Amino acid sequence: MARATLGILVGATWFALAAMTTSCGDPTHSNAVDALGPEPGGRAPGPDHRPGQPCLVCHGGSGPGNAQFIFAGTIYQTADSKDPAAGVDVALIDAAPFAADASTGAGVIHAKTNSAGNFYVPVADFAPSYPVHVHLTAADDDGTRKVQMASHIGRDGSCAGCHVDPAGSRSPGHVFLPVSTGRR
Amino acid sequence: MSARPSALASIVAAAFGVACGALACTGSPNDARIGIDAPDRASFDSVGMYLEHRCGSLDCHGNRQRNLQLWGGEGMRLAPEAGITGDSLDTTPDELDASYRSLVGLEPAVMSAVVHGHGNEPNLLTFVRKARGTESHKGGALIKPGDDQDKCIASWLKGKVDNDACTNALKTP
Repeated sequence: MARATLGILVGATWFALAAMTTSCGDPTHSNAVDALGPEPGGRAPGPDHRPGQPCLVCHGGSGPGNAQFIFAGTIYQTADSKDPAAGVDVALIDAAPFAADASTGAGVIHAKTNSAGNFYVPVADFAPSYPVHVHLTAADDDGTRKVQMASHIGRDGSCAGCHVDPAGSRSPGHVFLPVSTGRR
Repeated sequence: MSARPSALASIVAAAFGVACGALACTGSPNDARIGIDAPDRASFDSVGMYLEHRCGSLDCHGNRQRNLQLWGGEGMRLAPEAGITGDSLDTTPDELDASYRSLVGLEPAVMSAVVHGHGNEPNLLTFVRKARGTESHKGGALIKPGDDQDKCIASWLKGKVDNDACTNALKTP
């Protein structure tokens, strides 16, 4: 009788441990969040925080960021520096006319980079048909500068998911576009 | 009387050993390393260019973490050993080689079966089902049976690639 009770207790303990383990979320996601490290400079979370990091790791719907984005990233002024490019217009153009069930024109949404070079598009604002193309426009010292991403976004809404430093065979490096310095 | 079977057994064993040794020394030619019956590499260029454009962005199959890996100017490069110069967006022959190996080696037995069936059942291949959206695919349904993208792939699997369809398929965003 005592042995049977002990067996039930051991079984229940294992079951509880197993349940706790499986309810602790996605370890891959947790590892990705942990890999981002602490908030640089002790800055509070907000629109200016963590420039250059893959935003959707935390803001892609699995947390811990509360705001949920469909696209977000950071734009710098040059390939060699981390000076933020503020005021860049980011146009995201989807492929709705080419979708299997095409019935609409292309969806387009614009976002503007802030003082940290960050931009973001809330998930509620845009439901694109992939692939999505990106055009950047900014005022620079010579007028207006435009650049179009050579490839397209197929699935990852974080710029830094692909645009990681250093540039090489598997990454074009961080996103950059010269902006006006007000010197002219 | 008992020595004879023993000697015979020794001779048989020795002959077996020699035969095994000879077989072990017979190397396979390099081009038979994988042993897949696939559409030939020579007909792959236009198909590979299309696949790289449509599926090979860095966040999709231009990524070493994917089972199907595609190389080229719009995504993952083989630089610098592939002879890429500057910021060229041109896909190199070495990159097409690498994409071809990845594609035909993805499901070798199924690829062989499709080729043996003269490409009449492309849906046996997972990459076709995913592209058509009949199997779960993070990138969604990208092609429709009968459109230029589908013709490009299906014709290659049939052994007679439709280069016009592949060229038209390159115009998709």
